[in-house]
Amino acid sequence: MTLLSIKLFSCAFEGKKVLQSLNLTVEKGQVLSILGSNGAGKSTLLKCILGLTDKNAQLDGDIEISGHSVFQQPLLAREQLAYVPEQPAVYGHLSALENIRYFLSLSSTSQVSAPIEAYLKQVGLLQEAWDRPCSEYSKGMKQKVMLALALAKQAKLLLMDEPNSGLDPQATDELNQIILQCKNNGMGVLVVTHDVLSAMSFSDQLYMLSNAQLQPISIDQSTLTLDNLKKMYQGQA
Amino acid sequence: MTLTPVVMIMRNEWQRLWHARIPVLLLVVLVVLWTIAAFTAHHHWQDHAQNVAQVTKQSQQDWQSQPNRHPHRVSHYGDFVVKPLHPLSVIEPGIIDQSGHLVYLEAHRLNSANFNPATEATSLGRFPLITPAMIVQWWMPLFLIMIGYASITSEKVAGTLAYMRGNGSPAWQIAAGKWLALFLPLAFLLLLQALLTAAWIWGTDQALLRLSTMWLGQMLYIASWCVLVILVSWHSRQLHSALLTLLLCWVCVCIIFPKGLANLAQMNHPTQPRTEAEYHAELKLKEIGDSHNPDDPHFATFKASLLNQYGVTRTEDLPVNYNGLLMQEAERLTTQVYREQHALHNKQLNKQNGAIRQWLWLTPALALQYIQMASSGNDLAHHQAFIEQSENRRYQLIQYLNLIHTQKVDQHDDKNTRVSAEFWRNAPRPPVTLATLIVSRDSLVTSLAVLLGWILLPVFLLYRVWHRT
Repeated sequence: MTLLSIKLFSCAFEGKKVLQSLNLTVEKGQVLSILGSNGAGKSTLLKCILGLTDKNAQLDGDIEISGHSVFQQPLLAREQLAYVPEQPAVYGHLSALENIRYFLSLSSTSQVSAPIEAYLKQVGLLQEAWDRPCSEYSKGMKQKVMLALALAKQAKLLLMDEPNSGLDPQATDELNQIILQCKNNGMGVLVVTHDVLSAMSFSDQLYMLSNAQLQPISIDQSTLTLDNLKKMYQGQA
Repeated sequence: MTLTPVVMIMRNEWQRLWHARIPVLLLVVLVVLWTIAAFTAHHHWQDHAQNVAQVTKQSQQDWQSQPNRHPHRVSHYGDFVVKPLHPLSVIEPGIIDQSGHLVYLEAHRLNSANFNPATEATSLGRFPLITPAMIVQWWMPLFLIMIGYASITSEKVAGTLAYMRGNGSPAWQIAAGKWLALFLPLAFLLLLQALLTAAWIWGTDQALLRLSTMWLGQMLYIASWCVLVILVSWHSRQLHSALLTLLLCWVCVCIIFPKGLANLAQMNHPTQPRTEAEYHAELKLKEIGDSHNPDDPHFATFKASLLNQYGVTRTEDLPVNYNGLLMQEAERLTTQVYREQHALHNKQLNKQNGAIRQWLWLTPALALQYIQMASSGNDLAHHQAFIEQSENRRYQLIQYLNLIHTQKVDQHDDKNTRVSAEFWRNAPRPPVTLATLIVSRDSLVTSLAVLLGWILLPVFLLYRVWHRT
C-alpha cells in the first residue's frame, strides 16, 4: 500500500530549481532516508510534503499521501501523517501528557486505541517525567514525546527532520529502535538526516539529494566509504 | 465546522500567557489603571454635576428674586443656561473641557464658547486626563500589543506552528483560537464596564441606546486590534519585528493620524477667532443700521412705517413705547447678524469634521473617539444643538422683555418706570435639553463602518495567506 507518492515533483525559487522531477514512494512498513548536504533541499522537500511551501515557490508535479494530494486536499492529506521537526515542537509549560492530549485534541483523531501513558512507555520516556513541564526536558525526551504523539495519532506516515541531531549515542540508539518499532507497526517512515550510520540501521532504502535530484544509494558497507560519501555529498558520484 | 480545537487553542494560549507571568501582570496593571480612571472620572463628574446644579439653582434664585425694575435692565441682567450632561460623560467627557457647558444669555449678544473641536478633541492635551474611554482608545490596544505580539510568532520560533499545521490543524483554527484568547478577556472587561454603567445610568436619557452604541464601538475597536495583532504576529518571523511593527501601527493609528488629520482639517478649513468674528459682526451691524443715529436710513424707514401704521406724526404720540419697538427691531437685526456669523463658524467646523471623516478609515482610534463622544452627548453635534437651543431661549426671552418694555413702560417716563417682578417670574425660559443621539448619526455611521472595515481587512489578508497553504 503506497502511503507517500511523489510524482515528477519540482520546486523552484525565483527560477532556481531546488527540487527537480523527483519521484519517490513510501510503502506501508517501509523506512526511507534522505541524505544530503546542508542547503540541498531536504527540509524544503519535507515542507512540500506537508503542503507548507513558501508563497514564492514555483511548484510542478504532485505529492499524494494515501491518495490525497497535498496541494488539492491539504487537510485530508495531513490527517494521514505525523511530522517530527528537527527542533521538537512541544509546549514548555505543558507536561508530556498535556502536550499529547492537546495536540490530539487538535487533530481529527478523537479516539486513541490505548491510553496515552502506553505510548509514552512504548517510546521509553521515564514515568517520573510524564507530569513535569516539558521545559525541563532534554531534546531526546522531547523527541520521544513527539514520537509518542505520532503513535497515539495512529498516523500512517511519519516524517522526521534530522531526528538524531543533538542526541547522544544512547539517545540516538533509543530513537533508532523506536523508528524500527514504527516500521514494524506498519507505519511508513521518511527520515531526512545527516546521520548515515543511523540511517543505515533502520532504512530500507537510502537516497542522496544532490543537484536538486534524488539518487538511490546502496546500503552496502563496502560501498559506503568515507570517500564515496564525500563524493556523493558533493554530487560527483 | 468543529469549534473544539479552537477552544483548545484558546485555552492553551491562556495557559502560555499565565506561565509567562508578564502578560498577566500587564492585564492586572490595565485593570488597575482602568479602575483609577473610573474613580477619577467619576469624582470629576460629581464635582462637575454639583457645580452645574449649584449654578442652575443660584441662577434660578437670582432670576426669580429680581425686584420690580425696568425690563431693559432685566435683559442685561442676563440668564445662565447649563448644558445637560449625560452620565456617560464619566466615561467620555468629550469636548466639554474645550467647549464649556455654561452660556450667559443677554440682550444683543450671542455668547458661545470659543473653541476648535477638530483640533482640541484630538489633542494630545487629553493625555493627562485619564478616563475610561481613553483607556479603551489608547491604553488597551497598547497593552494588547504587549500581551499578544508573540501569540503566533513565538509558535513560529518554537516550531509549534509548523508542527500544528503539519499535523493537520487548519490555519483558521489556530488564528481563531489565538484571536479569542486575546479578545475574550478584554471583551469581558468591556462587558463588565457596560453592565456597571448600565446599572448606574439606568432610566436616564436614551440610556440603553447610548450605552449600546458606545459598547458596540468599543467591542468592534478591540476586536479589530486583536485581528491586527494576529495578522502581524502571523507574518513576522521574529518576535522583535512583530513587536516593533505593532508599536508602529499603534503610534500611527492612535497618535500621528488623529493629530495630523485634525491639524490638516484646521489648516484647510480655518475658523475665525472669536474676537475677529465679533469685529466682523459689528461691521455688518453698522452697515445694516444704527438705532442711535437719527439719520440712519434703515431706522428712519422703520420709524416712518410705524408712524404710518399707528396714524401719528411723532413717536411721542404712539400708544406704545417707541424705545421698546426700537429694541425689538435692533434685537432682531443683531440676532440675525450674530446667527449668520455663528452659522459660518459652524459651517467651518462641520467642514473640518467632514474632512476628517473622509480620512477616518486611516485611524480606528479616532472613529472610536467619535462614537464615544457621540454616545456620551459630548461631541460637536451635541454641542451645536445645545448652543442652538440656548440661543433660541435667549432670543425668546429678550424679545419677551422688549415686548414688556413696549407695552408696560410709559414712554414719557421711560427711565423711571418699574415693571412688576411677576413679569420676570413668568418669562418664557424653556428648559435646555440634551439632544438625541440622532444629531450625531453621520459621524456614528462613518465611524462604525470604519471599525467594521478594520476588522474585515485583516481577516481578508489572513484568509489570503491561509488559502495559499
